[in-house]
Amino acid sequence: MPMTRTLPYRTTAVAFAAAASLCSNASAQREAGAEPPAKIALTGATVITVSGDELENATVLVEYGRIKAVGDEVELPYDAVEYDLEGKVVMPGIFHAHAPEGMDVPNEALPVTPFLHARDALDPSKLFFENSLRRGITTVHVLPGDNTVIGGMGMAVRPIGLSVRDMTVVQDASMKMSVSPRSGYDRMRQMSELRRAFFDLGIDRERLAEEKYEESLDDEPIEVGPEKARELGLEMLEDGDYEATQVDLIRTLRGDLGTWVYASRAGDVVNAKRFVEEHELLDNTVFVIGTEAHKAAPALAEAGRPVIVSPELFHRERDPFSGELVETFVPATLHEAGVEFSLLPNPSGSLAEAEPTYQAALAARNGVPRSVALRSITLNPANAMGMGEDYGSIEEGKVANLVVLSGDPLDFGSVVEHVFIDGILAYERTRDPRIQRLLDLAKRHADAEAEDQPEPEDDEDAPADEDGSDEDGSDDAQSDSDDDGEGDAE
Amino acid sequence: MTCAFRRFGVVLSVIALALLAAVATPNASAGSARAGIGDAQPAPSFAIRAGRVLTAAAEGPIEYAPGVIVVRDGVIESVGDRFTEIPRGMRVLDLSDATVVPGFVAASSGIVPRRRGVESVSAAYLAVDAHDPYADHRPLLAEGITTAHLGPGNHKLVSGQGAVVKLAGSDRVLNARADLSVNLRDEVDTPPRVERVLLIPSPDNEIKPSEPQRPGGRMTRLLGIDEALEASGDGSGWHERALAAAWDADRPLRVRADRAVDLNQAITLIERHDRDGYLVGGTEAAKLAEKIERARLGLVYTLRPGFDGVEDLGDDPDALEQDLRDLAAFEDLDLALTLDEREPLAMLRLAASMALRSGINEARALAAITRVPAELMGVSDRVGSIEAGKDADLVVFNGTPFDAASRPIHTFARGEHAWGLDDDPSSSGPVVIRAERVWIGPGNELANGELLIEDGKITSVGPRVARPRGARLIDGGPGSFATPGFIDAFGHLGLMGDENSPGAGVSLSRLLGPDREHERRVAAAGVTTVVQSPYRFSGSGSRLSAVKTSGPDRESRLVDDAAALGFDVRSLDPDDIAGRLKPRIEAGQKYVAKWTEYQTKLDEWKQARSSGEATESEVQVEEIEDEGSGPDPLTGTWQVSLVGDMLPDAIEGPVGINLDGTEFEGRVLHPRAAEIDHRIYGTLEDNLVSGTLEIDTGGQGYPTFEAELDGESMEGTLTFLGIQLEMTATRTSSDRVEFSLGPRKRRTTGKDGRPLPPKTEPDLEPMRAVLEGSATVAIRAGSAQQIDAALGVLRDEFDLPVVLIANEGFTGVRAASLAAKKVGVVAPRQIARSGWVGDEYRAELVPVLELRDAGVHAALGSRAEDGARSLPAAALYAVSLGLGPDEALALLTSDAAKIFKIDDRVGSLEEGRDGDVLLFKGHPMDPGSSLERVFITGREVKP
Repeated sequence: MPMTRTLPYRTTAVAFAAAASLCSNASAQREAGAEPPAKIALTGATVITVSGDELENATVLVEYGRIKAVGDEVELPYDAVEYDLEGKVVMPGIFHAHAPEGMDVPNEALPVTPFLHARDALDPSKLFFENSLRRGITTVHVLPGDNTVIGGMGMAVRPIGLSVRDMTVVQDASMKMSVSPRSGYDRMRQMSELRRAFFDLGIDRERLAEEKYEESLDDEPIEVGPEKARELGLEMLEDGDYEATQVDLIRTLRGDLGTWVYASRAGDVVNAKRFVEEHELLDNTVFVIGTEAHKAAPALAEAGRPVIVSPELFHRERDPFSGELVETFVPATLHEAGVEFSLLPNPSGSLAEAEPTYQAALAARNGVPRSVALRSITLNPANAMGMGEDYGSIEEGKVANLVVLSGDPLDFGSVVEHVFIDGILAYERTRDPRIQRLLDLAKRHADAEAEDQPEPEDDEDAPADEDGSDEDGSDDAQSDSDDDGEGDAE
Repeated sequence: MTCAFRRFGVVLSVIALALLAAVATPNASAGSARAGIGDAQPAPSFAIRAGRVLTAAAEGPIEYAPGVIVVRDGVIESVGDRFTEIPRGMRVLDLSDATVVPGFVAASSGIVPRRRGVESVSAAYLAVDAHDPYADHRPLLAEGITTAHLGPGNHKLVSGQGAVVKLAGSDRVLNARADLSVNLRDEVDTPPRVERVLLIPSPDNEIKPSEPQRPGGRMTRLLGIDEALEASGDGSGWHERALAAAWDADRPLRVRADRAVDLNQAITLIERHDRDGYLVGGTEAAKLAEKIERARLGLVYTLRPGFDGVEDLGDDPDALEQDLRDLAAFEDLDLALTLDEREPLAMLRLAASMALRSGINEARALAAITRVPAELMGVSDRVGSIEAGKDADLVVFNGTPFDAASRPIHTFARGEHAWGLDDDPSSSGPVVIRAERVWIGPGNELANGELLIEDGKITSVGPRVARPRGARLIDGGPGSFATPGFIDAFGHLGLMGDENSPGAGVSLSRLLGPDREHERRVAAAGVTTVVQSPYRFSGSGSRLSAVKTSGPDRESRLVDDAAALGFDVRSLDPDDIAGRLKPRIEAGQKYVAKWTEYQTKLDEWKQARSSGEATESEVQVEEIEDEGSGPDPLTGTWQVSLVGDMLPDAIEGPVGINLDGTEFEGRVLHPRAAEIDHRIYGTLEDNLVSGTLEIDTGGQGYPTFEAELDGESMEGTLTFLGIQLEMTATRTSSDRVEFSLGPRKRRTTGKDGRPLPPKTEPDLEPMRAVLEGSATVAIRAGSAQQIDAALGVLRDEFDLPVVLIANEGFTGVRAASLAAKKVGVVAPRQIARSGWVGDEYRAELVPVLELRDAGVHAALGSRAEDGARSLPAAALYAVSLGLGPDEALALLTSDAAKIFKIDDRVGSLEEGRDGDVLLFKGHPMDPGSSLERVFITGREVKP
């Protein structure tokens, strides 16, 4: 069904700036955004800024795609389009910090593929993005999955746009690795292969450096030893000198990209930490953890790096002695240990768990403070992705990614009514064909029931009233059964 | 004074709660200075006093008995004999029943699975990568294993690098790269070919056929290693480089070889390359023992005892009978013992115990699972023996470590309590008590026996009993003698001098809570059970409860809430005795009949329901009869007032009473009080009014009162939970009172036709217990005539079990008649005296001897509170006067239990009885014997 084509935001497509520059500075790439839209003002709503207090009856003024002002005494320009949102709640656009779902297949069959890029497998027409938008997600981190050794590069996208280029927010965001065994591997082999990839890179880099130095001499005789030559050559090496399969790993080592390491178990966290420390990658590392890894919460806190929690939030295991099932709520453990974590929607869990706000509410219900729960789906993932300066909260100067809800985000009864991305009205519930169709169906069903309701009261009229078009036979049958019922009663 | 009686009820409830709260407050001295082992965790500095310390040290003493270990910050500071100085203020764990050994070191384990990856020779696989420092190894720690080797597997020629880790604590890795794992076994031959997957094949980067790997068989194994070492130069691949790095780092070789020929090859390999290393082998190692010893190579001997069931082993060399005898002869051989990875590692100690069969002595067997493997694996600076400077990895055993029945009760890893009972040693975990003589009951003695106490009950008695996990062993040692706890058959413990005479509805055991100092003193003297009796019996009978003298709460201290129903006939004319006793018995019989009827109806109803018959849904109501009329001394309306210290103001109120025979029934007449139906009932005997007031006391029982009737007024006391209030009343009308509720009715069936139980009447419960055979009637009588009269009613007429609480004047000369009537006797407090028996003057009159000669079951009663602790001395006195020592024991234990029908709980050491055990040095009735330890329901009592 070509439903996606009929969505409103598709028709209000906006021209984007040119493709991301080749400049390796990631934050510079983020500047490459949309053509600034008109001035808009969201007034009268409760504003959850995430970075600061929650403001009652406040105004968010957006100019040219950025938040110009937030507060209760904001003067509106005459040309601002005003949205009166009395009784509504405005919060920052939600982040989906780990979404291999954005690609057709999460992982390549090969174990070491640092040269792959999520961009090449991204499918803008995937229902996943449409659903993300519907849930208030404004930034999706599409990256390779966990079944890998080195998976490739991930990117930050908006869930709107007809092409990969339209969607791109940060093109080269992260390098995905895993210290937990991919299928067919054990932990020893996983670590061996991971070390080997960096070892091979080192060998190749030394060889390239020697060659580079030799080249620079222009047939003059070499007067330094091989080690010195390597050292000198290393400084001359540029990205273009490397093979295409290696350059992204070199950029990772240099710190241009986030290193996203998957560690499913607590023991893996130890391995991951040791590995990134050995390669001086810790400052760019983000730990993507499984539930069992909560046992390593103190180690994660010590690392002081962002943590992405698996979509499943409860860890269950049996006590080896008593056989008792012990249940742990992972976010609470992390919070207590002082870890800054991000929560993910759980697309394979229940329908509710697919809502990021539900996951946050679950956290709030199980011992995580409300403010932390809200950060864990907005500012924390933005920080993890290195986008915290421009995204993740409602602050002056930040990109106007805003979600308007009918009520408190942690209230399951609240629904997403509007989504603004870069100041563009990207989603309106009243014009969401899928939702509207569902609501219509529900309404029709309810109406039909309401009509049916009084009938069973009146035995005589019931068969005649209902479904006049029915065949006589069925009418008779119903009358018979009614008679029987009366007989029983007597 | 409106609704005075309602308020009265409230006041009483408050008093009751306050009283209970006071009782329930734990005694301040209950939490003694003894350190709980669980507390050791935050700051692992402590000292252990142990019965025995086996150090497993290479030099210096290997045993201290008893010994002391001082642990500071998780490290052993000193170890020595009992005079070793313990730093001031350091907490001391008293483990004087236990043996402490070093934490076991498993020289091999299956904790990490074999590495995957097809390479036949690689050092790139690190077992430590598969290590989970957060794993919960309690099942291994519970068996004393604190350190283990992790290997990359023994399935490849060079499978990788092994590691040594602790199994508990926060910093577990002892050596991340402990060895290079070389395997000379059949399994390593003909490994799969290596295929290289090319990403982008090109003329420079051609697809090559897969490459074969060494070894093809035994002949090419060493060749395979040598080739790999030669190939591992610059420009070579990852796995070869890793091998070179490990080789250059002088990683010790850990060579696993099963057959003698392979072991030979292993020795060659190590010697040819002049490497450090050790061998891991099985049965055939014995053939090469001499050569291994000469090469100064350590040997990890892999045991295969077959704990996990029998399997076909084919030509597996380990299928041969395991025998270490040949190895045992080589005393200089560094021998470590481990279990095959297919066996449950937890059984390491048991497997090592079995090595004793081959002539290896205990010290060597212990070293083989502690110090020697630690040395071979290069971690002996940290673990493997109990020596100053090493980690405090300690295992506390409830016996000798190589006794199969012994088990660890605590395991410490670097001073942290890694496994064990988390309470202090006097907790109620399973206990095994061993004694040279175990006096189970009269004529039933066990030499060198053991008792197992679980959940407070004796679950096993015999020469050797099981040791459940966590069981402590209490070894009485030479000359030890275990008996059941002694019973004070008539005492007043817990009354604190309260001389009230409560009715049969009041249980004195309510006064008990956690044991108090003076109660513990009684327990520590060996008296573990007291038949608790009021100082004075109520005219309508008083309840006697059997309680323990020590315990954590009331519930656990209660043996029998209604052990006996006591009547005092000492002040009665013998002719009146029958008249006093009979109505109580008859009332009891009526009450029992109600219950019997209910039981019958219930059975019928159950049967009817299970057979599917339609049950009557109509609720049946019985009318409570109220017969009789006419003026009598009691019937009418009484204005009652209560005064007492506990009440701020006097409480007054009208009460209507109707007398029926000797029983009366009435209501508190205040309109609002009447709504809640405060019933008052009791008996009128001569001019003594005694009864019960049914008010809401929150389940604390009902207040009882006794008053003397004097014409139109009465005066007396109302008692509730030991609190007394003065009661006075005057009759304002002698008209029969119509209760506002009309005839009392109550439902007798539930909604589904189920019969409802009759109303529980606390007053009659003891009598019901007597009539049903679970309690006894205790009679206090003075003269022989009184005794005869009482027995005439109780024994002859109603055939009830009777205990005579003998008066001081009791001589025992008429014991034969007591024996004939099967009456138990609590002997007089005075063991011997002089006096007249009939016309004869006796200089020495010993009632217990008379009773024994007549064959009467007798017991001793202290007639005191904490004075009960002199009861054993009284028995000793009796022994000195001619009572047999074992007869004296029976007097204090089994006989006392029998006459009060509490012998299903106490009085013997048979299975199923409470774990009340006294441990003496010598026979308890030898004056020189001492009572060493006291256990009540398995918990040790410390005064």
